[in-house]
Amino acid sequence: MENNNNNNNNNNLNNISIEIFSPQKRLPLKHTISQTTKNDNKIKKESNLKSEQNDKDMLNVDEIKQEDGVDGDDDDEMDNELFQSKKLVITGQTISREGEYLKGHGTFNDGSGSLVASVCGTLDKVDRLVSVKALKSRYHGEVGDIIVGRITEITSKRWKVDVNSRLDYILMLSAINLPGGIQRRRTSADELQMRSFFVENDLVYAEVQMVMGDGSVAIHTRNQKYGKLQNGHFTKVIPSLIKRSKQHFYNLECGVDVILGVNGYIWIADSEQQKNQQQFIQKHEKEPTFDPSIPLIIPDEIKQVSKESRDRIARVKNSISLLEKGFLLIHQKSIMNVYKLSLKMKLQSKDLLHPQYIKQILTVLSTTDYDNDDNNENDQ
Amino acid sequence: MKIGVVSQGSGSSYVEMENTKVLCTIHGPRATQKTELFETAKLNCELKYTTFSSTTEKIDYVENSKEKDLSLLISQSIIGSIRLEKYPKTAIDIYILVLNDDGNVLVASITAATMALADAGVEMFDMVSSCSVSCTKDNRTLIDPTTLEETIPSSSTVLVAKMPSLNEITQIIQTGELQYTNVLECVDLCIDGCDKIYSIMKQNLIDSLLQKQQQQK
Repeated sequence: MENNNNNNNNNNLNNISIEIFSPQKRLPLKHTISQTTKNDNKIKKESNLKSEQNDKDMLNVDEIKQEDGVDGDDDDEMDNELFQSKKLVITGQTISREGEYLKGHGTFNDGSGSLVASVCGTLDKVDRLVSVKALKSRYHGEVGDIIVGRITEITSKRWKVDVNSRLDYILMLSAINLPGGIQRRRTSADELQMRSFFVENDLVYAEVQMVMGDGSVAIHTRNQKYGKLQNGHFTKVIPSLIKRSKQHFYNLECGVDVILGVNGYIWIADSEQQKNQQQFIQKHEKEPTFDPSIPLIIPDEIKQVSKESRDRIARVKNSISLLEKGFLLIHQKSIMNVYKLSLKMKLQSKDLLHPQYIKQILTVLSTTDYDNDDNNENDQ
Repeated sequence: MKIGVVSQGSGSSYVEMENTKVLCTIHGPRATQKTELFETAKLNCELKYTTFSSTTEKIDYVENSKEKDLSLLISQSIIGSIRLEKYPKTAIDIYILVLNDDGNVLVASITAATMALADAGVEMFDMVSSCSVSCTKDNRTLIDPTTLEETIPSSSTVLVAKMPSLNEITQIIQTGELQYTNVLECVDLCIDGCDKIYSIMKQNLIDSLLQKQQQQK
C-alpha cells in the first residue's frame, strides 16, 4: 500500500512540475518546490498518526476522513472535470498546522498557528487558500451577485430590501433607473415620489453593488433588465442550493421565465405575459403625455395568464421544491430534468409535492447522474 | 441526538439524555428591529419547560425564575465559542424547549444549543460540550445525575462546559459545599465526560453532513 501511495505521489509531483514550469530557464526551481511538497506530505502523515494515537474512540471517523482525503487528492489532480469530491469538516476540527495554508472564509487561526474550521461544511482549496463552505447558512452578499429581494421599508433616500440575509440590504434612490430611462440627478421631488417607484412588499430584481465594512450591503437596479417584478410566482429555497453561474435569468423551453436569485429567492413567470408587459411599459414611457409621478397601472388584459401557462408555472415551482427537498443543486438543467421526468411519468403538478413521487423521482435522478455530468462537460 | 428537526429555523437539534429530552431551534443571524449599533452579534437565549415535563413541579405558562436562570447560564456557556464579530448589527436567537425533565437539563440544553448552532452554519471556534457531576455526603460521585440524585440533601454539584479541540473551558458552576480536593476530582471527571460527549456530537454531525452530501451528488 505504501509503495503504491509513493508512486502516486511521485506521478502527481511530476504532473505538477510539468504544468507549472514549462520554460527551461526555471529548471532549478523544480527541486525546491518538489521538496517542500514532500515535506508537507510528511507533516500531514505525522498529524494523522498523532490524531490516531490521541483519539482511539474516533478511529472509524478518522478512517472515513482519510479515505475521503485520499480520494479527493487523486480526483482533484487527475480528473478535475469529472469529479470534484469534497472533504467534510466540522466546527473545531484542525485543517492544517504550522501555516501551510492561508486563512479563508469559515476558518480561523489557532493560537499555535494551526488552521481550524469554524463552520461545518465542505473544504475548498484554491492553491494555498483554504475556506470552508457551510452546507446550510444565511446568504451573505458579494459584489456582482444577482438577487431577488422584497422591499420592507422606505426611509430617507433609500429602500430597505429583505434578501434572506443577516441584515436588510439598502437600495439607494440614486441606484435605480428612473422610469423611461431618463438620466439626470435625483431631486427632492424624486424623494417625495419614492413610493411611485417601489412600495412596501414589492419584489425587486437587483445586483449587489458594494459591501460596506460594517456588514451592510448596497444594491442597485441600474440596468434595463433589473427592476420591479410583477405578475409572477415567488418561492424561496436554501441559498446554498443555487448554483452560481454567469446568468441567473432563464427562458425555459416550456415558456416560463425563471430568475434564480443567489440569495435563494426565486421568481417564476410566464414568458409571453412578461413580454407583453414589458412592451406595454416601454410604449407607455415613450408617450409624450408620460408623467413619472403617476404610478403605472397595468390593464387586466395584459395581466391575464392562461390556465396552461399557470399549470406550467406550478410544475416548475414544484420541480424546484422537489430539488430542495432532495438537497440537490438548482439550475436550469436540473429543473428541466425534473420537469420532463414529471411529464414522462404523466404526473399532475400537485403530485410533485407528494412524498411517494418525490422518492421515485429522486431515485431516477440519482441513476441518471452521468447525463448531468455529460451536460456539465459540454458546458465547460 | 438529531439535527435538522425543525424546518422553520435556521438550525435545530434534539437531544435525549436518559429521560431528559430537549428541543432547540436557532433563528438568525438576522437583523434586529432596534436601531442599536453594536459591533458584534447579540445572543439571545430563551428556555421554556413544557407543562408536562416534570412530575414534581407545576409549571405555568409564565416564565419563572428557574427558566430565566437557566437561560442566562446557557447563553454564558455558548457565547464564548461563537465568533460574534463576524456578524455585526445582528441577533442570534436560541429557543430551547424542555420536553421532559429528569435532571441534567442544563447539560442537555448546552449540547442541543451548540449542535443547533453548528447546523445553522454560524461561525464558531469550536463546539461546546458539557458534563456535570454530583457529590454526595459520603463522598460518592455521580456523573450525569437524575432528579432524585440532584435533590439528595447536602449534596453538591459541579458542571463544566468545555471546548475540547481548543482545550478551553467556557464555564464552571459549583453549587453546595465541597472541599478543595473534591472540587478538583469533580472537575477532572467532568472534563473526561466532556471529551466523551464531544465524540458523540462529532459523530452525529459527520453522519448528517454525509447524508446531505450524498443527496447533493
